[in-house]
Amino acid sequence: MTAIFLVMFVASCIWLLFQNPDAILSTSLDAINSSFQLALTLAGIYIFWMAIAEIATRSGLIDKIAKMLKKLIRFLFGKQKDEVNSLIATNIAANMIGASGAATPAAIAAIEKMAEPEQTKASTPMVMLFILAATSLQILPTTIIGIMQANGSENPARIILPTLIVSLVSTVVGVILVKLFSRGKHRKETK
Amino acid sequence: MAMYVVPVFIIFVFVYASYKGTDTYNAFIKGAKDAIALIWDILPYIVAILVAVKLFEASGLLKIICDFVAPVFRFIGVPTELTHFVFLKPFSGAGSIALYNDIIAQYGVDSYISRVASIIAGSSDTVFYIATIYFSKTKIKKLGTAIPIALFCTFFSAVLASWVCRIF
Repeated sequence: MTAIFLVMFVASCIWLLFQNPDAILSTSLDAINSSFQLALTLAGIYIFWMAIAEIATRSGLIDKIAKMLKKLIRFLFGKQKDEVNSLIATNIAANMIGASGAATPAAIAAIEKMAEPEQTKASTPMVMLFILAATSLQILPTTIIGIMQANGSENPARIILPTLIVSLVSTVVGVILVKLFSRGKHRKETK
Repeated sequence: MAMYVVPVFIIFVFVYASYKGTDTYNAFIKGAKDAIALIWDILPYIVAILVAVKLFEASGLLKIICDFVAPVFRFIGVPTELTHFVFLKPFSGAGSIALYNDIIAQYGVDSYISRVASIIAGSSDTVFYIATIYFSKTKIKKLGTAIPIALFCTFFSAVLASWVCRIF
């Protein structure tokens, strides 16, 4: 991120120096101003949904969803320790309802427990967990719906179904790719 | 139908929790507290990326790059207005939310471009951020195929979003 930030910042400033040097400061200050406005909008959305997610976690709703996912986890991750299984389930279930606050710590713990002390290369189940999170199989895109609502959308719920389709397909593609590459690796190793 | 999904879900969570005897009030407070801490944490990141992106835009460099890749995007059906959004998405969650906000302000929240952006924003996560955080408690440095697969999926979902949005 540092490299990207540096390149964007320096290149833009040099470019602006030759066209409109005043714009460097005024554009930056404007951007900071809108950052605070955005943070205020986001605060409303995050506070509401993370509060709901906390209630869902404490009431055991997340655990319940996790139990329903048991077979799927077996298929995706193969045989794992019970402890790891339930952490993976929590991660998937929490990601599904958009509670990334609960999802991230569970994933960190799951990967920590799967890793050998001196392991430096990610194993296939770890890559699988990472891909599931990256392709984000979310049932309710709560943040986006909130922002659309805040901006006066006539029907923010309209994006729920297409978002679900797109994230489902991209997740399936990701899972297939992980499985394919891990099989290729096995073949190489047995040769 | 779809407009009832969110409210019904919220009511269900509350009813289920009180049936299970959860202290909903204190759980709500705890969640709100975490959210405020989270916003406070990400605000500097939002500031940094918005300054960089706005400068990039004001300098005209963004337009040069976007014009350069526009033919590719047009060919696969992704709106060229979303080029920088698609590129930024894997690097910065806060930044892409900021950019998303910009896009819906500029093109109108219910326009085709905004809807595609909404789906892209909701259907993939910040690849490089997750890669850092998820493996942070181990010594694992080599992620093998993980990053290329994740980036491919992110890009693929942008293409798919552009197609799906023509139907819905």
